[in-house]
Amino acid sequence: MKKALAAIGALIILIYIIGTSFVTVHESEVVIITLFNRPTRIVDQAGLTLKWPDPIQTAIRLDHRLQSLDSNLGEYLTRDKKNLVASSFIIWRIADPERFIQSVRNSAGAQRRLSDLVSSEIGVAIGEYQLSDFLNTGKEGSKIGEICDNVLKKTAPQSMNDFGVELVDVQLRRLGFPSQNLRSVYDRMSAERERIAKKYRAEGEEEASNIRSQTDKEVRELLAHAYRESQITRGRGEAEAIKIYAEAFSKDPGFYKMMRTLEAYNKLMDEKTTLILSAESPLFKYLENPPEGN
Amino acid sequence: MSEEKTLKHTFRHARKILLASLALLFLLYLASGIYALKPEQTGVLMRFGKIVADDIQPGIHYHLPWPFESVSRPNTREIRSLELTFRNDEAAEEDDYEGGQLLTGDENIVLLTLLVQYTIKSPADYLTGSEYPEYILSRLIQAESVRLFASMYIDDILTTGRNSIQSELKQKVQKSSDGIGLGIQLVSVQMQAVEPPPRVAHSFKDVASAREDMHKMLQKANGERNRRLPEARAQAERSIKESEAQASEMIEMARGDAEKFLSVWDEYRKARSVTAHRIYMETVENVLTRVKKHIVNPNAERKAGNGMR
Repeated sequence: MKKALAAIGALIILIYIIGTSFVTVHESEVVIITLFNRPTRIVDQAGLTLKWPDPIQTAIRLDHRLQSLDSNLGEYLTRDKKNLVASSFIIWRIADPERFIQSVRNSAGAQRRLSDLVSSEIGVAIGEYQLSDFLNTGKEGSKIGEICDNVLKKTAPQSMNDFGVELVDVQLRRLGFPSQNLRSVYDRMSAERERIAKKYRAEGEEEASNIRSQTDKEVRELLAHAYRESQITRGRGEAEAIKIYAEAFSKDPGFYKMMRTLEAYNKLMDEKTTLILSAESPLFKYLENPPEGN
Repeated sequence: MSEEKTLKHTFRHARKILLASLALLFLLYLASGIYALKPEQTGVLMRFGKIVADDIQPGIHYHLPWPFESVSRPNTREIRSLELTFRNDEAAEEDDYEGGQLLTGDENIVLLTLLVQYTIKSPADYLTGSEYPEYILSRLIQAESVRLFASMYIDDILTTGRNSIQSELKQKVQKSSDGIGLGIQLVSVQMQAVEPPPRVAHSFKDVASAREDMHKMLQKANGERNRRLPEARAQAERSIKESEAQASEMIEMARGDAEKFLSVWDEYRKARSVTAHRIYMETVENVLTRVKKHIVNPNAERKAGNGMR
């Protein structure tokens, strides 16, 4: 019976030793092995590792994955004294587990310290730029990326040295005008819209009037061109007619003159015409002097 | 049977049962490594926490039982969506984290709702990149939106820029997500709603109606043009045709007159004196029968000293 108890006791101790000597390290973790609470070894490769059983050596597991942290919305002043409301976020991960444990102990502590550090640097950075560096429709566009990169460059070494934290990224997630400025912003937006609306209407009128005058011009050109064409055609016809007449009539101008004159008499005189004729005219030469006949 | 024998027998029996149940337990332990992956899942196999395979396809598989191996099964074929809004009018409310304005490059404010769809590109990265990948993704999208809109005109954002914003956001967010190894693949970034703040909405509507007015004015002017030009062309054509008609009329009349003259002249030549006289007399006759006439005799007048009627 004693034997059996001893065997069971030995088994329990063995299981305890095996259970605390083998440490599985996940891909998402980094493990610090401490010897009587003093860090001796850092395991950042996933897999199985060995250590002396507790309480000689203990394993502290830390999350090695990316962590994200939002900063509170804060009001900042740009270099040209414009108010901006901004909020940033930080992506970070534990890079130096030993220093991390010694300085900030855990994630909550790290987040508090990082937030303070980055927020103040963001404030400084915003103060170094003008509003037009943030909001810019020009060729280079907004410099927000550059500003954030500067903050990252400034704060990354410090957070590494002080907290053992790698700052992966610092970005602005909110950028706005403070609420006390909104009214004037809205007024400006409205005024600008009114100006644009007016511009559209004026441009419409201008363009429509241009189309009308262009149409006028084309219509007049068309008609003038047609007039020219038709005058040329008429002229040719008339010239041809004159030529035909001339050719025919010049064969006997005397006869033509006679015929034309007589035709004219015929046309000129009608019922309303009163002719006063002389009895001495050749027409009446037989009236008083009968022909003799020969 | 003696008592001792019975005891021995029972004991042997109990040992058998014990052994059998131990074997059964061991088998059950081994069998605990059998697992099934659903069609939308991809298996990631870990041995003592280290990833040894990250693309196990759906079906029945086996892994060594705990504590040797374990399996994570992210839904890689599922399309997840994430809605992000920038539509708080009063951005300065301190405790507001989800709302917020979006400023444009020309210092205007727009409200935006984005719908982002994504899927898991790399199961291993997805599992080891971050505890909350979607949360980090949402922050990346916010940052890229703030940056992109800060370089754009509000007019482009509200009208023609939609497609380019969507594709640019998708591309940039994908790039930064890949840069930090989230293991996420963006499927689409859609602007569900983009609009001016409600307090200035009427001004924006007026711009839209002004643009409409402009188009109407142009349409009207072009309509007039399309009516007047064909009219003018028809008129021009008519006057040209008329002149052509006149010209041929004149020529034909001249030819007729000339022909007539020549025919008459032909005959006239044969008997000039008689014909001339005849034509003259016929004409005079024709004329004088029509007109009122007074014939005065100058000799008689001279003698009588007054005219006769």
